[in-house]
Amino acid sequence: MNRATLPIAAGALGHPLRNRGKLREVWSRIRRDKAAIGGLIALVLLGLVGIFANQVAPYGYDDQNIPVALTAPGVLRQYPLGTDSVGRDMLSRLIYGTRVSLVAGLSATAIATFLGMLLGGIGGFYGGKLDNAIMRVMDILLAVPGILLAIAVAATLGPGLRNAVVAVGIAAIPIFARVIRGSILSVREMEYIEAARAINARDLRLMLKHVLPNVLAPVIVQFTLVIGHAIMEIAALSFLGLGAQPPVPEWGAMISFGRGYLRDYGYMMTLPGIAIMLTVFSINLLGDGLRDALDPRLKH
Amino acid sequence: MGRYVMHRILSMIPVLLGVTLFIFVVLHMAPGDPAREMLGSMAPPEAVEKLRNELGLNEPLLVQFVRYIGHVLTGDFGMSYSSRAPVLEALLSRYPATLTLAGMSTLIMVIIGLPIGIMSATRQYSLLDRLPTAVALMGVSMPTFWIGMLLVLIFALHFRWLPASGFSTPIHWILPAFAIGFNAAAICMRMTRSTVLEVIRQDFIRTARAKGQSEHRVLAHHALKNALIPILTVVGIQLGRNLGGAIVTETVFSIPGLGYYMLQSILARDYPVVQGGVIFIAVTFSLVNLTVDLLYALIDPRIRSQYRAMSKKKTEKGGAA
Amino acid sequence: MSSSHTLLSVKDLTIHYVTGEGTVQAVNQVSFALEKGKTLGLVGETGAGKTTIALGIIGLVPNPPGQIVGGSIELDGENLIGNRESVMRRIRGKKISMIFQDPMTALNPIDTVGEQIAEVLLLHEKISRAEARIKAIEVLERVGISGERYDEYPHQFSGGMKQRVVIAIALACNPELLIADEPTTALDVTIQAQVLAMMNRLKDELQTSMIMITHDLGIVAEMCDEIAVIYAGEIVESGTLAHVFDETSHPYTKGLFNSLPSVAAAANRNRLAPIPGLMPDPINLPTGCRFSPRCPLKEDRCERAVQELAEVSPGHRVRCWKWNRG
Repeated sequence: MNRATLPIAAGALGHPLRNRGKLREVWSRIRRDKAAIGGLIALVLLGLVGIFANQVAPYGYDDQNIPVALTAPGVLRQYPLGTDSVGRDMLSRLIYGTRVSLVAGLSATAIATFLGMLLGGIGGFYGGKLDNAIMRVMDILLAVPGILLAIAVAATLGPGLRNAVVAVGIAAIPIFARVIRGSILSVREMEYIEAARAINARDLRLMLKHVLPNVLAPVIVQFTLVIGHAIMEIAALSFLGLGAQPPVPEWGAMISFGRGYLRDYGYMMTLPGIAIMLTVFSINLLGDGLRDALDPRLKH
Repeated sequence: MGRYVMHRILSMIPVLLGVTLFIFVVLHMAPGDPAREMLGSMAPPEAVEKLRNELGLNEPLLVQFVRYIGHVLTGDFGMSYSSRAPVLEALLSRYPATLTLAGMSTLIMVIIGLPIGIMSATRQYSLLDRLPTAVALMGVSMPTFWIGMLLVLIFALHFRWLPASGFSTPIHWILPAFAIGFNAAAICMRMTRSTVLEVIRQDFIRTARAKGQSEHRVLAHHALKNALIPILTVVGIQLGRNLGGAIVTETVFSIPGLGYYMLQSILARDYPVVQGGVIFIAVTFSLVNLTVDLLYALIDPRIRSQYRAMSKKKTEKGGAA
Repeated sequence: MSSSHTLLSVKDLTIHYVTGEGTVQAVNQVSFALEKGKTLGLVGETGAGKTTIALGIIGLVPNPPGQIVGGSIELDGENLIGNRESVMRRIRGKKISMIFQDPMTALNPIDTVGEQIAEVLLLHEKISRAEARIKAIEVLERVGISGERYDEYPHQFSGGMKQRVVIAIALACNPELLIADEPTTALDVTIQAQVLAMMNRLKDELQTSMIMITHDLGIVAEMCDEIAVIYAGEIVESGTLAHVFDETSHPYTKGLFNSLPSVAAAANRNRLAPIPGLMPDPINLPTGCRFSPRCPLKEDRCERAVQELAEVSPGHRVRCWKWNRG
């Protein structure tokens, strides 16, 4: 519970919040959210693992060693998480997989954000027929489940992780287009824009100084929400054979690989899944915390 | 109101056309030649060319598309490139399984997600809130296909209580439905919780309390009925995503449904099947959205007025849609 | 205050909110009494604690994080603090009603207006649904809305009419006390006048006592018999309308009157004279007099010791030792 939501506090606080002060306030709110900080720390760790995979992983991701193939976790000290069916170290593959998944997820979401903001921004700001046309296209993209769209695009572009990333990114464009457009539409109506116009501010200046900061918050929140989803969708595409191709150690592909050995070597399937879960969980913790911090009214 | 429904159905058509066109273009942009796929890589070029002409693959894309739409409107979805069997029947025979799966998982989602979300919201910050919230957060972080395989590992292979594949009897439906349903329930629970929290903070709730209304009625009558609309939206959207989840889940559980069929067809460049399947799914999606919109009107009188006003405007403008 | 028939007696009411950033001392040792049939105005700026006092009386202080930490509230001799919810629920809507500021959001959008009035009737009176409907229609008529509109929804009414519905709900069971928290602030000025006139009329008809919370001194002049001026959670001046308007004693109250634009002042080309500064942070209240940082008459003594209420004349109290020199 913070001061801003008390029934009496609005006037009592009094001090007008300028933009820099707002940033500090958001940061102080996040700092107090232990779960979000936990997520952030976990993500930083994962990021470091991804960046320094070469140094951290004991083996390469495709170092095959048939004699020790299909060793369960904990049996051999050199292979703490066991080996897969061609003797590759699970731990190393998971570590490299961190880099693969994080980069892939970020890229796909970045594509969606950029194109979505472009389309939604143009539509929202200029309105009229352009807006209508853009929204029709978004409706079409949304008329089928996202995964189906991603599958179709990925199949068209051909197998491979890069194509899966593009496919997932394209499927997520409408989300950002709508968010941006909605934000712009509501901000446009606000009185301070009228006020700025009344003192003759030019359009671009208006956009940058007044519209953008307020539109940014929902986009940031949406970004964190979508990244986790993107990582899981890319994993699903790889699972289906459309994404990362062997020997790339993408977690979804590893799960697909482990499918044939489910009965006796279940760890080949469960370990990569746990990796996905931990990563997406951390992202979601941070995302939730960001959402609560940027709009505290939603919290209680 | 009936006019509004007509209007909505009519406006579904351009979107459906757009989707079909989009998939049409996307598929035809893919490398690979369906005629060659069908005849095999050893086939002589003249045979391939002959087949291409037969299938109309050499004509301009727009012509192909228009011809396709014309056929569809008469109920002819074409022939599968792989099996040479009519597409419509192939799709129809497989669709019920997918619908059942999507329906059951939505049911599980609502039965688990809604009550827990409401409980969580009304007991905010207590253990009854923190625990489900944490579990739900985990649930939305687990990919559906992985949950499916975990369920197979635990319940089919380890305990041998449930079958790992197939869809013939209701027992077969349990694991795949839960695979999708668990993730969906987590999403539904979170959404329900935040919606109820928001509604509870509205002024009219305070008015109800100031009347001396019991907390139970405040919640059940005032809060939940108002929360129903956003919740309905989520259920509707999730139903659509459950359809998508069914595609992947059918693969995991070897279920002979539309999703699995579509996947195979996409990989085999069997265009007519994919196009037909997309139409099926898009129509289902649109019908679900329409139903949700109509349910809104049932619940919220403001929306009822809006719809009535909208249809009145249409008639005043001389039916300009 | 004389005790001809004291309906409501509040003594040393203290309410705190416990937050992560500290304890907000929202209301501090507030005491007043309200006689039957009279109207008390609680006047002050936004955030002074007026609403919290009202919520305390009706028992709707949000419980985490707020709580009544001291004092007593008695309605007709019946204690209102520390009761079980079931007891308070029988009082709310029946003996004490409260209406709030924003009519646009005060009504449930998916219930008809008539149903919402009937709801309060059915809660407190042993009547059937059919009887409740008839009574609700009567109540609607009494606030100037045609009974035919019973089955209409809130969104079909304008702001002013919505507020009438709100008032109808509040007065349906003929409560002894009506607390009105800035009921006309969100309305157009002309509608304001209508609604206030209607409230006065109903108040007289039903013999309802009223607490009117407002920051508008004009409304106070029109509606109130007695006034309590609230600043930073405390009463700084209280008394009858005549006392406070004609014998203004506290520097803050004087500042309030002075900051009103007036034709005479404009004629003299006087600039508007707002009170400089802002209300103190309720978590970090100043020692001594809470108004001293902004007071034009401030002296060292003001900052050192807490000011108690002094009696200027019978029934007129001021929390300032300079009352007879300002």
